[in-house]
Amino acid sequence: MPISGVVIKCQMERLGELERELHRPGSVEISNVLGDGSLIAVIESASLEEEISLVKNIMAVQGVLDVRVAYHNFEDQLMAE
Amino acid sequence: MSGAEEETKRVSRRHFLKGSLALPLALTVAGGLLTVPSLRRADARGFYLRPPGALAEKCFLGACIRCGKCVQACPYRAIRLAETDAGVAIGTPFIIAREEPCQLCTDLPCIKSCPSGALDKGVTEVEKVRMGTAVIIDRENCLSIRGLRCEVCYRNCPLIDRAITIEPRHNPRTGVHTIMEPVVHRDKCVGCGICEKSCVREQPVIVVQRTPLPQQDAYEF
Amino acid sequence: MALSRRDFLKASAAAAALAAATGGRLGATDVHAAEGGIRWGKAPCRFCGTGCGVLVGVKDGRIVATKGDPAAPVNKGLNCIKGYFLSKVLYGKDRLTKPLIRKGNKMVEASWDEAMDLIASKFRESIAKHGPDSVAMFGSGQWTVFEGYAAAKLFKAGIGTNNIEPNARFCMASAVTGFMTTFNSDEPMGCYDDLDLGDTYFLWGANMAECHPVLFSRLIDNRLKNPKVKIIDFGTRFTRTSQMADKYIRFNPQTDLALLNAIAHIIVRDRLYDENFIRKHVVFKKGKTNIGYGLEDKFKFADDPKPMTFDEYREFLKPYTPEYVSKLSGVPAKTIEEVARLYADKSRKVNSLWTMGFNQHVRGTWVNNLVYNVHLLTGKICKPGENPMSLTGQPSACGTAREVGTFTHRLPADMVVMNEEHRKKAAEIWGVPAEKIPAKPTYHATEMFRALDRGDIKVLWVQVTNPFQSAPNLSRYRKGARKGGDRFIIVSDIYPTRSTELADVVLPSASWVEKEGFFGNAERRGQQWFKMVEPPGEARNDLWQTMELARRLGHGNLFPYKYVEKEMFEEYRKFTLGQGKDLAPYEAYTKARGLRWPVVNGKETLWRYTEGYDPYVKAGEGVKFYKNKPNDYKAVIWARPYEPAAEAPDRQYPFWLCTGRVLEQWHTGTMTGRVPELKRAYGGAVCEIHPEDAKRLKVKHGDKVRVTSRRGSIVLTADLRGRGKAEKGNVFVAFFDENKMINELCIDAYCPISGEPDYKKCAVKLEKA
Repeated sequence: MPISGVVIKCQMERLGELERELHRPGSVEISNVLGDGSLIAVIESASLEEEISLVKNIMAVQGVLDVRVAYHNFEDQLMAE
Repeated sequence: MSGAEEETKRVSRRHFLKGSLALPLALTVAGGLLTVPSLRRADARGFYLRPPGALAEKCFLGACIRCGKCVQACPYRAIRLAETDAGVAIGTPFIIAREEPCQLCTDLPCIKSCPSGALDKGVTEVEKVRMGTAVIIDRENCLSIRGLRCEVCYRNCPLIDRAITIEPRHNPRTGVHTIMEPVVHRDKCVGCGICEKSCVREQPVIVVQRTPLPQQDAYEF
Repeated sequence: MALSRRDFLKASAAAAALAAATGGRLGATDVHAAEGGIRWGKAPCRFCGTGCGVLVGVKDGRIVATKGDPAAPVNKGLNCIKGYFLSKVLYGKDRLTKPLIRKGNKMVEASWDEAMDLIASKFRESIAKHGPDSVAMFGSGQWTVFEGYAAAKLFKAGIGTNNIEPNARFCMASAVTGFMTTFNSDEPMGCYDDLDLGDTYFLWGANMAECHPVLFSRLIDNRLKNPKVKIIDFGTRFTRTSQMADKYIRFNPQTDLALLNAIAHIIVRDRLYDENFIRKHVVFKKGKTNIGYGLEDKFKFADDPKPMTFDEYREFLKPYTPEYVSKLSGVPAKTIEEVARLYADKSRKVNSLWTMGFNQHVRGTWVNNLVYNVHLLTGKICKPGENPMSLTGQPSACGTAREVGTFTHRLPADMVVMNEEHRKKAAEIWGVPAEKIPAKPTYHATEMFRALDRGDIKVLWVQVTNPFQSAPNLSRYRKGARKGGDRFIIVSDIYPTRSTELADVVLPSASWVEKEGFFGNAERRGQQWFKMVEPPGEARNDLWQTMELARRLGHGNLFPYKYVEKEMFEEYRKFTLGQGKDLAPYEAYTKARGLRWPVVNGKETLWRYTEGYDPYVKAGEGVKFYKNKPNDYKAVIWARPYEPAAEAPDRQYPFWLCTGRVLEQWHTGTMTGRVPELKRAYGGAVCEIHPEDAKRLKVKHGDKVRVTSRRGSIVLTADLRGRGKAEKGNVFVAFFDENKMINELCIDAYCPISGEPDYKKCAVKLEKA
């Protein structure tokens, strides 16, 4: 099960709303809100494919400017291959 | 206390205190913070920069006997062994380009030292090495693409004018200058990571990623 | 997966993402920097002679950001990678913040009063015992106009010695003597607009791609727009400039003299010259030959110019046949013919650009003369888009060293101490008796350090430069500086350097926007800036330091200003008015993004000596070299022969050594070396070797090689894959690295006319280390 840490760049005005909107315990957990308009989130998913689609979905949310992966763990994935 | 510090505390409270993982946590916080992201953020699909001549990842994991000989052979200490927090089979060799990239020694001592064949002895010339491919992952933050005279990655490329070339084009913003864009050529880039190390941005905008496989199609140019 | 493991991974993920977002520094406070509250001011870049404009962002008394100034005509908002990191160069951890006085082997913190008292007492003592020529000042082309002006005034009009020199002597003195001997006025007729307007560019010994990055990007853009544009790079080393040029022509070191004469030979032989232009604007002259190399102490040279006719000049050129010069230079005769025809092509707008390959040359003045010859023969000069252009490497080599005249023989605005009229005029503006200014020049830079070594100079003050890394034959002068006796060395700088380590007193200086300043760039553009931040600790402006010494020596009356910078500038400006070097009132510079002199009635001059552009040229005159009164307002074509280098490879030392710069580091690296990003991008000097030479020596890329000359020896990493490709029999090493001081190997031979040393040619041997 891949786990990622991502930085979500948001429009300043929408930062508060997005923090609530994007937070989905068990898949997307917002851990930090930064002063420069970034959200720090941890993404958990069942597979790489699911994770990629999760990131894509976040990217599509209005007010989200950019999503960058800063950390990715996929150890289990490798073992499974 | 600044906002960021407070937020760090929040992270600690929420997650770190739950577990009993003080040591790896310390590793992650001190230095690991920079190393782990630069190892992984290059490619969310789980790409590791392996030493020159490494077999395809799955075969490599099978063939590598975790002896650490390549680590000893590397005069630049670029090759290191994966530790527990690296998220990969412990003890396999890898390179964190941003910290110490492969300097592409002419005689490739790491390959020579490998007893198991995990590093392919058939690779005898640096031009034949394929560790990965450099990619400019963040064009907006690339100073050269923004028109500044940077091109540090290009000038540091050991295969300068082959693996990276400069594609000049008119800069419409000033009207009289040239944008000198570094362009990576996949067929020549060996993936040593020297460009990634030398990038002057806080987060490198050029990083080594897994070399994309050629795709077959029925169309010919 | 165990829950704890999973939690750990999640925490790591969050922490890593946080680190990525905050740049790895938890608790980063600059997250809020973007939120405003930044005050922006204009300044020219601190580095090379290009003179890019930058906007400096200040918040809470600190520079927090810089950006290229979109309103600056030179760079229009762009910078090179050094300029990009300007905000960091002042904030190295080891900034000097307190005066230091040597006590034995230790440097001990002292108050400004203690330090200045000590310095003043040493000056007084030395002057009383050994006369005013026993004290000296060594400054640089990084001095602001005010700093250079105050130092020149104090030494020439106060202390009464011509012992003042800039490191510009190491850098473009040959350009000065080239301009003076050909046109009788320093600095170029053209400007950077020629980079946009011409179509044929010859680069001579200039790695513009790395050393004038923003100008090069302008030149390349011209070619992108106009397919006719050709860039031809003459060099002894394949550089990034060669890579982007249309043609790279490699020649054997020193043979540029012969090549330029061969080009003139063909132009004259085939009557490709502009007869009308020659008749109206040119005289021919020859000078002494076999003029020596200045290797012995107290070497003296005076040229003895003799007029000659065009026919005699034609005779002089006879031996420089393409075939003969081809053998000498290694350039095919056919190529020389082609190049000459390109130079003479009436449908082409031809420019020559050069830097240290010409200037750092034992015949530097000659080779400058020779390139003007070609432009004068063809009449391709003083026209928009068609000019010879000498580029400079320091931010105010032109504005301060050359225009203010901080050389031993110079006074402001092209005047010299040897000329009685000039001394009178200077003395009048400075308010001192004319006898005060000594009529004889003393030491030029190399001779100054020789005099220090011999003990003829006792007290030396170094400001804004690093001669104990940058001088040639460095070991001799470093040892000389520490010989003891009455020697006393003061170094003002912002960081510990290879020069401060030899000093008896180290003074902490303010830099760049920590003080009000004025620089003049290579296209005659003067640029002013205001002080924007306080210098750290007790660091103080070099201008204040000089005036403080003046006050303590009883010369305080030379600096009677309230608003020092402005009033000093207005005083200096008096030298320039009516001389074709007119500067605008100070006010004007505070508003403009620089102005190119002569500025007459508020209008700057793009092309000098040219009707319609230069207000000194009357209607109907077309072109007039109005500064050259001694030669009937004509420019001089000089018959200057080929003569060999001071030291050439032989069996014992079989390689040529050339030194120079790289894009990421500037000069001796004291500023750029404090920027971690630049250090990572190019951290240490390496030795470029041709792969075939390396193979013979059994040296691989990355191996250590020992490079040895008759003067020094150094171990470097061999570079066979680098950005610069050495030609066979040549090696190249950059000089910025304070841990690998290549100048220890350089020969201190110099051009007898300019006094500029040849850093580009000496003989070395290589061994695998």
